[in-house]
Amino acid sequence: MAAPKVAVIGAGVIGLSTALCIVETCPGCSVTVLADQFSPNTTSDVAAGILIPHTYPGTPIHVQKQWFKETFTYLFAISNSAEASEAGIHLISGWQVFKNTPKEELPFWSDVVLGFRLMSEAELQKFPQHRFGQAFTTLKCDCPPYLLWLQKRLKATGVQMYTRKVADLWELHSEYNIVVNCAGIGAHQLVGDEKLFPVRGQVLKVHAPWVKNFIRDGDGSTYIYPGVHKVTLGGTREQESWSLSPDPGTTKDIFDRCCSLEPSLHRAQDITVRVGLRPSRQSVRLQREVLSQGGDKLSVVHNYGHGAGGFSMHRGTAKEAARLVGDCIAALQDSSSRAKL
Amino acid sequence: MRVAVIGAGVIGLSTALCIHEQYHSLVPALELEVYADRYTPHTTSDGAAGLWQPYASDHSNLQEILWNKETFDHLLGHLGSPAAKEMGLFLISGYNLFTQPVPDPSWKNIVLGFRNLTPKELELFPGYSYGWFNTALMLECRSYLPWLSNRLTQRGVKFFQKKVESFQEVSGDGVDVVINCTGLRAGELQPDPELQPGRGQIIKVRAPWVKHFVITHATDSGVYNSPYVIPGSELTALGGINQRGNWSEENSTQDHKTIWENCCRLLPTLQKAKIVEEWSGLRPTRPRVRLERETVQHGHGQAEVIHNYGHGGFGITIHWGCAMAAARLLGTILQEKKLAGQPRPRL
Repeated sequence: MAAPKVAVIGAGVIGLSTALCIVETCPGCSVTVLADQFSPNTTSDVAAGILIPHTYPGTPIHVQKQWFKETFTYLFAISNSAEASEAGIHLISGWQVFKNTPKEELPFWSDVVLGFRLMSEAELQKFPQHRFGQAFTTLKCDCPPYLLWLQKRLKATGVQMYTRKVADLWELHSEYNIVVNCAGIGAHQLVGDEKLFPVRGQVLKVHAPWVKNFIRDGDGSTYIYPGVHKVTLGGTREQESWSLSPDPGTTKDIFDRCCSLEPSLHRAQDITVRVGLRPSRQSVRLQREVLSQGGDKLSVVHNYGHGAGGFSMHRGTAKEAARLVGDCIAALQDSSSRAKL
Repeated sequence: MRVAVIGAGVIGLSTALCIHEQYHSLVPALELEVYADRYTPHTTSDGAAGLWQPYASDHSNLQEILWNKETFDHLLGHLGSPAAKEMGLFLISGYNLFTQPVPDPSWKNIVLGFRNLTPKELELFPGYSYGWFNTALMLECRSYLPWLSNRLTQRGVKFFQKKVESFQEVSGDGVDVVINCTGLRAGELQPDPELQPGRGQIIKVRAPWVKHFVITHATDSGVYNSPYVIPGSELTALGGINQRGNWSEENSTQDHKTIWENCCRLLPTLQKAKIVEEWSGLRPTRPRVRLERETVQHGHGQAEVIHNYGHGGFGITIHWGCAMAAARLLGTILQEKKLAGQPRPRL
């Protein structure tokens, strides 16, 4: 069989990192990225990109921990290199504060992030409405820089990228041997996955360069994530809303909630508002599938449904998807050599 | 009652404000004046990065430790106020790195969340085997000094651009108490062999992805002679120079090279940072802060002087505690004058 032709659908953090992992693990492959949106117009561009995992109810914890650990280790190395500023990756310390003590005092990822510990009484005094807190250091991937950096690395290995709206996976069967579906929320329409649903998130990106620490309310509703140039203020979690238009009432509400956590934000400038639809699912769909029509087949690897945890899990799930692509190639070579007999 | 503050760095201006806040309603005829030849942004304070952190190994006495704590608590109280940004005040977390284990500093319970570094964190800093993490405060004087000046102006304090050559010059003019906040050049008003320059040089770069301070310590180099990186609200300060006895305020190419190479080795991400500014300044170094009263005799009489100088590389860290102490000394003088009864005859 000639060099396997792999199409990756989607150019958000999942699509690009998966394409990169495939190139790294299958050097003989020809990889092409197809997407209807590229940075700065992907869902990933709206997200803050902080590495604080979201827990998937349908995935075993040890698997999620493995994905997170792989992602954290990978980014940790880049964060301390000369590439860090171009890639938009940086360390950030801060606090997760709770109004009510959480059931789980130690999240599964507490030994993956750096320096995790409970907040002291003195630290909690800064948050009079909160009674419990955790302090730690984690990583943040700023977008667009991180996506552009991934694109640059892909282009350097010869990967082509095209703007194309794929309406049906099968339309690719004559051009590609394997299709990797990283379409995110687009998978709802692309493969008709009813288990995938949007969770709408509105955020503000503001200029407040004196804010050096992140603050997150443990209930997930309110957060302040300082990036390289802008601070992301959030947020909302509106289930089943497909609207990408910013809501002014929501903007004011987010701003007020964040200012009550960090009063100096009243002086923030250059406020821009963005909306993203988290591609949410009980578990990430990370599996192989073979489509067939007539005598033709198309190998598919799905890697979508990361919801609020895309950045936290991206490298781990990308590596798993690349492994599944490897399995597809092996299966194709196997049936190809058998066909020759 | 005329009180003249000489010096308009962080020490002079904060002492003036502290005095006015405490006494303006108690002493109706209080007239407060500030004399300085250099004002912001040309003072030594303006060049400092602004990190609240006392020296790691404490030769300081208990009094200085308390003044540090008073300053931190005072600033922490202002953090949530609307003035914080205008003051140049914000929280910042970061790392202190050592090549061997050291005892915890006296200020471990003053800062927030003090702890030792974990092995994984130390992987970030090859060559360093021990360290601390904590959250402290930044107070950027390029904002703080104008803020202090505005508060003082609002209160009717008068400013004079003048190089004062002697205590007599001011007290002979009818000033009742002189507050000497002249920093390194206090020796020009009254010789002080213990006061020496600790020359520092700083490169300011644009590196907004750096969110933590990183301060290294080398046992043989002495304080501030080991690389450090301190992110400000706009620019990041790279430093690591402390030359005793060097009076030059010119930037040195050799020091530039030292700072740049050492800081890039410490934080490889800095290699891509754009250099924006460079500055040299002289820390007013002294074995301990001179904070005391003195009645200085001169030709035409005597001057009541309160000295408040010699804060080395920790002026911002200790300033408010010293300002309060200086104000207390003024209180003593005011009491004495009240007890003495008669106002001083004016010639």
